[in-house]
Amino acid sequence: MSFLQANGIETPYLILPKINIMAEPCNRVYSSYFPILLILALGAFLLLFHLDHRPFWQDEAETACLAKNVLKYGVPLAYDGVNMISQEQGHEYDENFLWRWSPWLQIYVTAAAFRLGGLTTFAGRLPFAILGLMCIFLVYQLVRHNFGDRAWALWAAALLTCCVPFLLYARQCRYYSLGAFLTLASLYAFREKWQSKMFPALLLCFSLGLLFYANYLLFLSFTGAALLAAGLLYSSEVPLARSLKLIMAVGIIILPGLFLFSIQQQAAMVSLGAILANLENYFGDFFQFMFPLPLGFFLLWRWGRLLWTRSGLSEAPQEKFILFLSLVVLGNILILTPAPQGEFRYLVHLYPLCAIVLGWIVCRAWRYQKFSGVLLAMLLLGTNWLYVLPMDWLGIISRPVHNDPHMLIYPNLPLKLYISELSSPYPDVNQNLIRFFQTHARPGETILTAYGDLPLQFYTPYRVFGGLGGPIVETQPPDWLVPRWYTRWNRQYDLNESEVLIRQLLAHSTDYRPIILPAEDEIFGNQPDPFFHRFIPPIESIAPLIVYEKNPPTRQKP
Amino acid sequence: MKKIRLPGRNLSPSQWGKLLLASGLLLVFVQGVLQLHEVQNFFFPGRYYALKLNLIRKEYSKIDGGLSSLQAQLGRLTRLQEQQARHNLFPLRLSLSNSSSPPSADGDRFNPDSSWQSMFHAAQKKRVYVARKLHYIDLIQKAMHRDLEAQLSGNGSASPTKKAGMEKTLQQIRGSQALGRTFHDNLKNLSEKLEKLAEGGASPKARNVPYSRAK
Repeated sequence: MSFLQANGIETPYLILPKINIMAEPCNRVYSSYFPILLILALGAFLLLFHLDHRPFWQDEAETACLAKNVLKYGVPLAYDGVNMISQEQGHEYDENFLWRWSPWLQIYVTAAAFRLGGLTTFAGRLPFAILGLMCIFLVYQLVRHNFGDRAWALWAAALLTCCVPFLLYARQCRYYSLGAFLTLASLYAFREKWQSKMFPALLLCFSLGLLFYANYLLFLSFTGAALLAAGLLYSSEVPLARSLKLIMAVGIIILPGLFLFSIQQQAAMVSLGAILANLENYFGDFFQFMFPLPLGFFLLWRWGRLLWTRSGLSEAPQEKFILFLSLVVLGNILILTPAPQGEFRYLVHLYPLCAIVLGWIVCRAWRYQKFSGVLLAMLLLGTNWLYVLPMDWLGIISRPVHNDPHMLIYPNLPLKLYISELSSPYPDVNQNLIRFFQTHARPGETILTAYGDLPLQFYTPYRVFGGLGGPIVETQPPDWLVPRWYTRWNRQYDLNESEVLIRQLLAHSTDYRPIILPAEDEIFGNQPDPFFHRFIPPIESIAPLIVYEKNPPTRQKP
Repeated sequence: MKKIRLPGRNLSPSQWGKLLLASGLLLVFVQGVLQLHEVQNFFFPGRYYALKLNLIRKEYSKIDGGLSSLQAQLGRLTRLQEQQARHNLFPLRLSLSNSSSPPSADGDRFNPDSSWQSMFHAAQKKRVYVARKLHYIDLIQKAMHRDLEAQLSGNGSASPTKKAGMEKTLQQIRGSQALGRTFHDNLKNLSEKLEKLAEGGASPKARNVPYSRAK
């Protein structure tokens, strides 16, 4: 057996015990923390630079509008006396307009940020970007503190810092980085002595409980998978009595939420028929944007061989932890599959876990062969080639029809694209519409839009309706119509009410005149999903943005 | 005669592993560089349109498959409706009320009305899938056509080979657009049938037709 030197002690594994920093000379501490400080500085730049370069898109604006109402009414109300917030045909709120669809934590975090920084895009996104930065540090700290492997810890942190999809999600005024942070916090607590100490037990309890209030899908999928994986790999470290107490405590924290949010109503949408399609979507996206397929095969080959030969898993704590994380990720995806929407955003909290696994693989590759280690690190840090190309060769890559070579679905240099977007942002569809209405609409006017109603509600003072909301009850024809080229259907695959009404108004009336804006009618705007995200304007402009204005003689006086 | 010995015969399994790992990573690296849009554009300027057309061809084959499966779904729905009518059961119609969830609650599978609704829902989903793809492709082809025509008219000094290449691409786009129109007509026909089924044989309900050709 080969022995390694760790802190002067011979050990079969690369375990460095928790280091007492205070005992070290000052310059050693400095040099020890310098690389992570450098990574954090890069992370801070990538996460915070031009944070408000694009306005909120529909989903972010939902959180922002609800947060605005929290400042006004103390609770998230879907109606503020002028506008209604809805993207699910009006099913998200009760008879008192109280928001009961998604958990409130992200809304209150945004409201607090608005209270401190004003109703701005920057303020809305700032807490989530900071949480993203904390994720980078926590990834480093989790590995360094528990396994003492500084190189692994640094690689994991660097890989998360340079992971463009993670950066895109962390810069959103939405629960994504909050979910990732709470996931990491629970893992950190799990690796501490929660069995005997109070603080780690409380941390575990609250991070899981709060994860529910960030997004209960994340809570259900992560907790379920983590419990199973812990039972399988760390059964000796999970005492029954303490674990039951912990589960009960988490249960008490989430209990009010179980009644408050319409979980039952949404659970009715769970469909066994969707499992196969969701499985395909989740694994497709996972290998395309999160974890390269060849490295997945490597882990499968490594652990599969151990299973087949029954030689047993290496008892090295690092590898055991990597297997634990891999099982958590796998379990998470499997638990998510019956949920009605197979969206990539429900996997974002797994990015830090993947970074830890990838960091470990890079270190192994380096120790195996330096040239390959460097090449692998370069490919993972600077390109998406290891993700996209093998899937392309196997013919299993997924691309939307309306694609562009400057998207992450093609072989690219993601950081270059990302920095181009931040340094020279182009006005996206929401920015163009906001600017247009801020300069052209008059106080008291009404806007009916097929999509993108919520950004307009947040940034303009007008009555904006339509979008993906429910039935439209309007006595007067709206002053402005915004049809969008990308048709949207509801969950029953009927055209949305707003779409139908706009078509009817335009088909049976000569009251409206079109205004063609010199801008592209993009599908979403600042959508972070790497499957759709545009860093720079597309090569082909396929549809201009058209706004219809009611003719002046028929226009109602505000 | 002296035998030529391959160097691989002297390599240990571990060395083979290292060689394979390094060459695999190098392959990805080289392929990645070559497939960057900027590099492709530099070495093969006209290739972008060819790639795009190839992608559209692939999408058309998916659309074709989607239309066939929609047709099969319609056949099943019609048979089920006729069967129910023969047995004088309650008329099978789609509830067009705004229910909160799609008719996919798996517990209700054994209810004939629910099973019909599930099948109808699946057919609707397929129709939307095809309509969306067709609409996308329609607009993309129009944009490509417009851009190429502009390039051709504004590029008087271009070499005859380049012009011929552009003309050829334009012809391919026109051919592809013609094929798209056939798919559109087919989808329109199937959409109307589906709407009739939803109404239990009555005329299509305008509000539910998710089909609209881009003008």
